[in-house]
Amino acid sequence: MTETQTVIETEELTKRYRKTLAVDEISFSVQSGQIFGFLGPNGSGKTTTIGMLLGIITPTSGTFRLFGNDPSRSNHEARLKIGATLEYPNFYPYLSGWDNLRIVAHIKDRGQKDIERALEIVGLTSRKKSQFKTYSLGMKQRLALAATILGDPKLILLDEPANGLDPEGMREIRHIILDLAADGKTIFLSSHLLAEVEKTCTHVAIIKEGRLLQQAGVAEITSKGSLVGLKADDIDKLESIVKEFPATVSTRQEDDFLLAELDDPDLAGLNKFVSEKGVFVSYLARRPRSLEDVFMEVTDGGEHGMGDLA
Amino acid sequence: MIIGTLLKIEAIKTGKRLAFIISWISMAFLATTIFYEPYAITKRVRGNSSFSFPDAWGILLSEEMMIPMFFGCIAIIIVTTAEFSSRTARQNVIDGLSKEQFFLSKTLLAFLICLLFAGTYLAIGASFAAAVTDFSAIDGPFLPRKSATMLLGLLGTFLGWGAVALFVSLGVRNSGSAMGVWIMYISFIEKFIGFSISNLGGWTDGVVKFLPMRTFNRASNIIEHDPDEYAKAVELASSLDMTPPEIWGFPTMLTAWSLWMVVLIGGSYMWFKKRDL
Repeated sequence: MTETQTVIETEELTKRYRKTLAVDEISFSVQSGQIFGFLGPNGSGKTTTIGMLLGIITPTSGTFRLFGNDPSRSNHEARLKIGATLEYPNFYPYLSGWDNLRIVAHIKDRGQKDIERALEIVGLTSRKKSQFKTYSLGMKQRLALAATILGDPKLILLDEPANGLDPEGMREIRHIILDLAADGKTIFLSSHLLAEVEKTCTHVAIIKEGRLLQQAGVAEITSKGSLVGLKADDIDKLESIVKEFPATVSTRQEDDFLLAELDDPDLAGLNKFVSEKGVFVSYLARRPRSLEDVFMEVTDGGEHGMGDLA
Repeated sequence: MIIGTLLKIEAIKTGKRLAFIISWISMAFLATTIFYEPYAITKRVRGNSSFSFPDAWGILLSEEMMIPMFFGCIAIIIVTTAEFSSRTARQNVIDGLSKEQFFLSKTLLAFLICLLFAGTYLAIGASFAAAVTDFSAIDGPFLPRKSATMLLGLLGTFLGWGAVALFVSLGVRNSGSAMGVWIMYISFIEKFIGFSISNLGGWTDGVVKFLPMRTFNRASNIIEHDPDEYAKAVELASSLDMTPPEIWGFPTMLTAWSLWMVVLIGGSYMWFKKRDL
């Protein structure tokens, strides 16, 4: 069994742009071999956090370590072990995919064979001589992935890798990411596409308005607690009654349903409790907890009184 | 080793950039039209050696050298600002260049563009001049001392203009706006600054003459390199009852030039280093 290593460790990392606090004292860690999803709504501070790790944004305060590096020293050497893309693919539009990768290869001190291999992995060999500006968005994302994996990095940082892609493109990117993870790479990807993250990641951290709300394994947080869906004619009255049920941790309304998180999955007891209060449910069933449920609970926590689910 | 890598990267980026190629070819075309005329006259008029070496240096190193300087600086602005507007600078750093290496690559590129544009301009002119030169009839050095120092001075001026262009590019980050700011600065903003400072009193003359463009342009002022030209300038000033022109001399010129280069390149670096990409 290979020994795990902390590849990213942040400590109270903060970025402030004048009056705007983009990232607020976030601390998290990523271990080698993980596929780590960095989840958050648009504008929550995901890209700023990755930008700080990559050295293109200067933190206002706080520290971070890459591969256990001393945070007081330059991270340049450690960054050479990282392949990354940030936001949309930034390549020279007038150059071909091949020439763009030649630039990356020179920076990473790699040769022609590595470029060919990277193009093959992402399936762009046939269009390598076309100008970047003629590529579709999916091809641009794949070229960005090719640049990322060029140089055989130990850690791959991807910022919204499936952004703007159609389902087929998303599936391709997902497979490439899973193949890279199977190859032993540590993957850190930011996204607001919860279903994609759930299908891909082993661990997640949830960020909102610059604050880290939760960090845990995907299996751990989706299996925790018991989520129950209920329906009744008066859903507001139903919610107020369910909130009084002793095993209820939190509630929220979604479409015509009331979703309740219970720390004890006693559905019969809940049904009895509600009916004794004069409300009869037309639907009551346990619902598997998805990452989306966790995300909604955590990010809406203030509004609906959701607690820490970790 | 890193310099070699940076140059290879810049060669890939710049060699296929259409705007750069067009500005280079346009300058070469202009140079051809400029030098064709003295070439044709020298060829047609028997006994005319004005465009034959070594006299041709006077024409080659004349005020028309501003043409490659202008085009070269426009090329510097185009290739430098593009890195920021399309965020490829960010990607280069993400890919593994340090900010220092990226800045060094842009500085090297700016200087190489200066050398390329000046070199192309002079090579075209020298080719025409060589075509009408009877090398066996050259009496004395092929490149007289005053022409050699003038050549160095012009290079100093060109590099200075390039440093201003680089500074503006890093500050403005948009090619159109950067070109506007740079042209305004070299054409009248500095003159206006000089005029404003002069109004503060006579003591300011010593400051005004050392403003950046004045310093850089002084490096290629002919009176600094050609004693005959200086004597003519003194005679003219005396006939007009004016103060004779001042000679800076090489040490002062080099010191002032170096200081401004450090300020502009160092300032650009500090600006770039501090900024989030």
